[in-house]
Amino acid sequence: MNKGIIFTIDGLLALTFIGLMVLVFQFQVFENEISKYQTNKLIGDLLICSQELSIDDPNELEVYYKSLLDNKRGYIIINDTKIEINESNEQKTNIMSQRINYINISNNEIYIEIGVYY
Amino acid sequence: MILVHTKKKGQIMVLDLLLLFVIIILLISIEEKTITNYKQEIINKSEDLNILTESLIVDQLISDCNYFATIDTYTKICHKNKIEIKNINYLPSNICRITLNELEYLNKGTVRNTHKRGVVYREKFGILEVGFCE
Repeated sequence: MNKGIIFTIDGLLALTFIGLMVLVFQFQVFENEISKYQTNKLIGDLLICSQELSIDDPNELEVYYKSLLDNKRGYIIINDTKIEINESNEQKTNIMSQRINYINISNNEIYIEIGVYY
Repeated sequence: MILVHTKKKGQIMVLDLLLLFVIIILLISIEEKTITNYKQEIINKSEDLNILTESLIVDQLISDCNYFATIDTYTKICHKNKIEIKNINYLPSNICRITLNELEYLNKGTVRNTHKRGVVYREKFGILEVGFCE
């Protein structure tokens, strides 16, 4: 009987631990989603502003990127030119990116893509 | 012989009870910690929801022509992210601070959270910061 009680308590302990893990995991996902949502908004801002201001120089856009996204690692592609921003040795494989195509005043098609690693 | 056997059985029972108490105390402490963490996470979650709500309000400010977004006089198109500072008095009451390129347009109360957005202001890139009150 004593053995049975100990097994039951052991089982309860295991269940508590599993529950705790599930809870921690759920909240972490939610937190990451908010951070990603906010970063996505800022990428969108950069693209809209680039179109409004007819930006076709990646270095100019880099200055705006850094003022908005601080030290977040990412890249900018304007037509065939790609520049990496805040490069580091840290391995990050996930990217969130947005892109637009627009025609500027000189009637040239401009392709802009902005990506942020996370 | 019988006395020794009963004594041994008693010792085992006492040990068993002690073990049970230790496990119960361990369980209670784990549960207590779990509940405290859960409570803290709920507080954090509600804070996250606040951030989302505020983010949507800021989104409205820069895309709604009744707030900061500009309207093209000829096409009557409302331009998202192209702003002018107007209708400050009609802003939601929980907005306490508005700064554009470090120029302050509104400052009242203690700011709890600040949201940063990229905008076009007077044909130049600018950073709009909206602070929400406590």
